[in-house]
Order: sequence, then structure tokens, then C-alpha cells
Amino acid sequence: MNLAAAKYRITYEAFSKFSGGLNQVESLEALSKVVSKHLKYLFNFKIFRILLIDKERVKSYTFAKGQTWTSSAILNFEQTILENQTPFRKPIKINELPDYLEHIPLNNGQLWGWHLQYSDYEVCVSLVSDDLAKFSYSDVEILHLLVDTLTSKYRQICLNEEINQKNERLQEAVAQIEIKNKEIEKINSNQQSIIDSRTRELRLKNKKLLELSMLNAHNLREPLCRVLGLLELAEFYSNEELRTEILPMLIESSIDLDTIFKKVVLKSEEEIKNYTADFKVTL
Amino acid sequence: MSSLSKIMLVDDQKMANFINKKLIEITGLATVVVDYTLPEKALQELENQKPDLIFLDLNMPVINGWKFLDHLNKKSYQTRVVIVTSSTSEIDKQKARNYTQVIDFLIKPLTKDTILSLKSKLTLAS
Repeated sequence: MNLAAAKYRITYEAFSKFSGGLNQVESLEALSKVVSKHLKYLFNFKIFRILLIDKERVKSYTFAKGQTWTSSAILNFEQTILENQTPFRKPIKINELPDYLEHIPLNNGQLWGWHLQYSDYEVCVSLVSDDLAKFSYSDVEILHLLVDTLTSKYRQICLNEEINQKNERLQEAVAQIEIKNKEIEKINSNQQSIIDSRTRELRLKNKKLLELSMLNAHNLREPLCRVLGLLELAEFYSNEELRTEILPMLIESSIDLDTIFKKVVLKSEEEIKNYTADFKVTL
Repeated sequence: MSSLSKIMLVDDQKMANFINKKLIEITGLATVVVDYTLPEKALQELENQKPDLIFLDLNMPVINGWKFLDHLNKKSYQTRVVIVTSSTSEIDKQKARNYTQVIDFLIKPLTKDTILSLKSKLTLAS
């Protein structure tokens, strides 16, 4: 077995271990831990950094010496690679790396960069190697494999989180709707009881008015019937009898009719006044 | 046309009794007419008078027409009754149907014609 084949086999084994670890991962925190743990078995590097950009967020993970830094800042060289999308390798310049990486000693440090475009997100991968930790072009293939696996896991976790958040919001909304429904039910039942009691009042008042109108009709008709009855008899009386017997009765009945008429009008007016006054109060 | 021997008038309005009495005389509905303005008095005299028919007003103080009819039922008097009222209420007319002895429901003012048609109705029935 030659050296390349042996290296390939070791790398393959390391990668399958990495994949195995990745399967257990359910959070972004756990993801960065697994990556940090397995990265050094896949290829040589001093610093490994991955920047993930989608519609909603920008997030970077930087791995070096078993440590992980998370940030949402885009570095200058990353900005360049996002614009021209061309992979590069060049000697590292002073101040090119963020402050938290300054303490890492580099021997002829080299900066590598790649841009990867996926359907709805893009990734910027960068790596620092030096004479002691040499990264070679033959490692690029495994690096891409790593990035593919890593980003798809990252997207999966993000989507899960998004779904969970949406579910939570949905549940909150459902709870709010339930509360509002209960409030509406309460208002409705209040309204119903108000309507019921108003209807009862109106029925009672209508009944009273009906009784009043019946009483009025009856009271008015009684003396009127006497007048009409007396007129019905008129033809059976002589002129003299009419004047002495029937006329006084006609006069009495007419006066009764007038008295009752006045009374009825007065009482109806009062009743209607009461009725409308009550009605305004209850409104 | 045969006429009834005795009619009893019960109406708190004296003048109403006067008018109806006169109409009964003119039409020859009955030979004798006795009239009462106090319903309680009429009830007391019922046994003595034994009328063939009662003309009964509905709207009276103390004992109204309905109470009068209830008294008749309580004492199981079978005397036929004609209600004579100035009420045009349909409710009263309906209510009167509950009393089997009520044979007619007449609305004031009575006229010769209404009494004559009552007379022929009674003749046909007898």
C-alpha cells in the first residue's frame, strides 16, 4: 500500500466517524463541537473558518487549536471572495485575521479561500495553513465533502429551529384566539341577556298598551251605543215623547261620551309619556 | 212566530236596559221583560223569575259577565244566555265559546233587525 492510498484510507475512516458524530447532532452548538473534534483528523490546518449566509442570517464558525468562535461578522477577504467567487491561496498579511486569532503562531502562514453557492444560501470557506501544518491541493476534495455535509446539517438544524419557532408562534396565536373567542362568547351572552330582558320589557309594555287600547275602545263604545240605541227607538215615539223622554237620555249619554273621551285621551297621553320615558332610560 | 214568555236583562247601565227592553217589546221577542242593573241581585232573583233567556252584559263592576256565567254553572242553571256587549274584542267572542249556555254573541247597539234574526233563530231551534 502506497502512502497516498494509506492517507486516503485514514481520511475516509476519519470522515465516516465525523459523519457518525454528525448524525447525533440536533443543535448548532453540538454541531460546532463535533466539527471541532473531528476536523483535525481530516486534513492539516492552523485555522479553519466557515461563513454561512442565507436570507435571514450570517453566521461564521472559526476553529483553531480545539477552540471554536462564533460570530456574525464578515471579514475583508471574505467580502472579496463573495464578490468575485474565485478560490485563492496567498501568503497571509498582518491584521487580516480577527484579534482573537492573533495569538496563534504562524510559520509562513498561507490563507486559502473558497466560495460555494447552494440553491438558497452561500458559503465562504477559508483556511490558514503554515509550514508545520501543511494543507495541500489533494485535501480540497475532502474539504468540499466536509463543507457539503456540514452545511446541509447546518441548514437542517436552522430549518428545524425555524419550524419550532413558527410552531411556538402558532400555538401562541391559537391561545390568543381562544382567549378572544371566550371574550366574544362572554360579550355575546351578555348581549343576549340584555336583548332578552329588553324584549321582556317591550312585551310587557306592548301588552299594557294593548290592554289600554281595548279598555279605551270599550269605554268609548258604551255611551256611543246608548246614543245609537236611542236613535234606533226614535221612530216609535211621538214628537212630544221624543222631546221629554228620549232627548234627556240622548243628552246624558252624549255628555258621558264626551267625559269618557276626554279621560281616555288624557290617560293615553300619560301612558305613552311613561312608555317613551321608560324606553329612553333603558336605552 | 212564537215569542218567549220571559227575558231577564242584566246590564249595569240602566239606559241600556231601557233601550233593549223597548226593542224586545217592539219586536215581540218576549211577553215579559225583567231588568237588573246589579248582577248579584239578578242571580238571587233567578230562581223566582225563571226566565227563558238572559241578555247579559260583560263589562260590569263587582260581578262581570264571565263571573255571572260561572255562577250559573256552579248552580247548574241551564238558562240560555245571549251576551250583549259594547266590546268588539275577538278575545271575548272566543272566550264566550267556552260556555255552552251562551247561544249568541251580540254587539251593541242592538237594532230591531238583530233582535228579529235572534227571534227566528230561537224559533227554528225550538
